[in-house]
Amino acid sequence: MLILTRKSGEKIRIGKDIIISIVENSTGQVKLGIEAPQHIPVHREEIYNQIQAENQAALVSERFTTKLLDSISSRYR
Amino acid sequence: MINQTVSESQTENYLHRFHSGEYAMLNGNGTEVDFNNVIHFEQGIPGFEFLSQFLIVPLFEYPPFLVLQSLEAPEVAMLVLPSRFMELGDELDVKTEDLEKIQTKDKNGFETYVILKMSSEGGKFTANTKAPVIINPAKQLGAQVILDHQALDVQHPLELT
Repeated sequence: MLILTRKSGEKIRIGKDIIISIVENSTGQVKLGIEAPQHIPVHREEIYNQIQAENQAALVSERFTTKLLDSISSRYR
Repeated sequence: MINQTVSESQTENYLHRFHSGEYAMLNGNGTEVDFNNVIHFEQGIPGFEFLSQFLIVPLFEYPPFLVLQSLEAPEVAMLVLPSRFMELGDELDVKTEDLEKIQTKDKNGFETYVILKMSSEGGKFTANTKAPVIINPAKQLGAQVILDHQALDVQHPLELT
């Protein structure tokens, strides 16, 4: 991993169109500003991982869900 | 440039797999799938970043539930519910930069769905209101977006009303 030392207000450029700025650096927390093209999604890592795990756990199979749907779908009509 | 079109041979392959039952999922027999209505997810969805073409299939026997199903991998199928059934309001407002992912600026020009999951205790569903799926039907574009509101949760209890 590349490790760079930066002060508040300084920036890092990744490739030709991603810029990370150090907005503020106080005790224990760093505030970053991120400029990236629209096609590059930017997420907090732990939240993205959580969504990945939820999606993978949400896959359905007919066997396990039809019965449950039978009991609840009428209440949403 | 996004390639939104599905080639003839791809369609033929999908149709073959459809008729062999792979796409039928919960809808049982008589499912009519409109292959001209494929939704393109440019970024895939988290956990399935490599999949980009999805169908959103209403479950006629179980309204208002639908299935979001991958064309490339039919086993990737999730139950979804239009977000209006979640009794949430402004909390589900989608940011302008997220709307750009489906090429719309119109607050009414897209549909919002929440992905459902069987809760670990069984017998109940939870809804992922933190990361709803937004679809622009006119342009056949979709994205799963991550919202910031505190009232939202990846495992929001699905209350029966």
